[in-house]
Amino acid sequence: MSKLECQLGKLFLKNPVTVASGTFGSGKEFKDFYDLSLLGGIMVKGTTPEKRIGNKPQRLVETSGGVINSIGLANGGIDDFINNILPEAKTYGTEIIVNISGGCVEEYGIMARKLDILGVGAVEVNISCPNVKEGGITFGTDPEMAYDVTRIVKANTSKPVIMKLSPNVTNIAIMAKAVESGGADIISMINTLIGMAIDVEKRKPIIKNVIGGYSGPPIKPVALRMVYEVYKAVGIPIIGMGGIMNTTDALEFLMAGASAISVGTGNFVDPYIPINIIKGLEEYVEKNGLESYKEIIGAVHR
Amino acid sequence: MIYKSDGLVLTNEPLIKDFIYLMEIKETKIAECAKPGQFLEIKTGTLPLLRKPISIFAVDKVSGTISILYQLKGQGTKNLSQFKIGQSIDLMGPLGNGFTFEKFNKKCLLIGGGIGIAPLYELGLRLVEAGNEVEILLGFSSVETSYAIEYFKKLGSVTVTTIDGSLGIKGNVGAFLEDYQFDTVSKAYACGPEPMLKYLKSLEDKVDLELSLEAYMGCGLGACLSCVCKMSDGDYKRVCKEGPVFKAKEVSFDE
Repeated sequence: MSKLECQLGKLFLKNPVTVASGTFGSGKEFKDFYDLSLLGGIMVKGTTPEKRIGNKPQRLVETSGGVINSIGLANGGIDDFINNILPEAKTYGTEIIVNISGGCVEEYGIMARKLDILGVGAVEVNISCPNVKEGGITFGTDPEMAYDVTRIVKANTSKPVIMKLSPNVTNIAIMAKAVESGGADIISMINTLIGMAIDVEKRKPIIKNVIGGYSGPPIKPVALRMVYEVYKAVGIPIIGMGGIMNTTDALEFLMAGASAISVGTGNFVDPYIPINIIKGLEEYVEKNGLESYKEIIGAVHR
Repeated sequence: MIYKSDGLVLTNEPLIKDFIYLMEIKETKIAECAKPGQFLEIKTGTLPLLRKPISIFAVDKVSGTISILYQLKGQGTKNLSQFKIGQSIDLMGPLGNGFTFEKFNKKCLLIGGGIGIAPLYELGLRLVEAGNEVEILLGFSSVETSYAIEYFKKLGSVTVTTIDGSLGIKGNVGAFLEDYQFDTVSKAYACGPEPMLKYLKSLEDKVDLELSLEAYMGCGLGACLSCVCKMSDGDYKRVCKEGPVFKAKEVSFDE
């Protein structure tokens, strides 16, 4: 048995290294670089009930060492995903985790039901998209709504349900407890921090949508702190993410309490980061004489 | 095939100091499969975090080298200008679709504005190689900010326009194209600032025209969906993946 084998409730991954939704397409875009079956899992680009063309450009800008994006959930809709993207994605030999966003509670249920099919490893529920006007972030900041969304998704699928938490809240532990009591199997965290950048020559926001989600190395300490807090608050496993660029970053998240990690913005900088982390974790486990990487999960709490 | 590979800097010289630079890089695999109009994503340093998309200026498949012509705009291109001969440089490419061409009956017209001239040189080389006659129109703001003209002179007849009239025809590329006989041309290709492309779009019914677009990119691989441009049908397409080259009729510059 591999020392990196990862169990998240009823979801089994060959290793704890995944790639974050919106940073990896459906995997296809990265196929030239390496065998995607090396990855623990792929969180595919967010899907919605209907096709969305997304926000007007400029949609992304680098600022202060990180990246602000406001894509606006551009995607072909869930039926297009199931018919045209999933058939190829499920041949990659890694867990395909489908990220869903609805405009209302009922839509989350409908999408979860449609995805209760072969080839889908788990459903990741986006209740924290900062970039769409309707729904989106409100589900992620109101514990009762987060609970309701979790309940309806759970009621409509046999797949493991991952609730993706927003950091844009006063107390993330309350949100984590809400989704846990709603039946969530796993928590993924954090989504992006809402941010802004201004063009001082034009005296205008750089992002057309004015605000967007901030990601990359600068948010790592915030994400780490939140994983640390949520680990103490709930009993379900956590997939940690936020600015992970290398093995040390990944180890920090595991030690803060994550059972798995995702590389997000790092994929834009160097597509090989997830692969380097897998190798790095293997080396760490060997060097420290561990039976399994699991021995370090939540290490700082002990 | 897209490669991520460390190239070797062979030369990195200013054509105009602190403004325009030409870098020659040895990277056999990318050079082998690069097509005109494609670009590289280059990691220029620790910061900026993101790679910088830079057009391929010329390729020598025999020696396995790629040249880039770049303008200093921000920290990334400033970092690029600091690279020394013999240093390794982290490249990803070739990316994007590139221009389409064949052996045409009539001549081809290349229209470049400012640093937008960069991808047209490699295209010109391949057009000439395929047996085409090439005419070139280059627009700059002034003689002081004009460059690389002598490269294009090797390809065919070159006309230059400058906004201030200090070199060639006074005005933008439109000053030359206003009375141009497009029926003498099989195909035209253009790259330059958006106002220029917007103007050229108005010529879409006069000539078969391909435009190479620029956009702020996140990944350069088609994953992040940041660098989209509006299409005539209202949908968006990725400049890094479906582009950067589009038929003029496909794109829309309306808000």
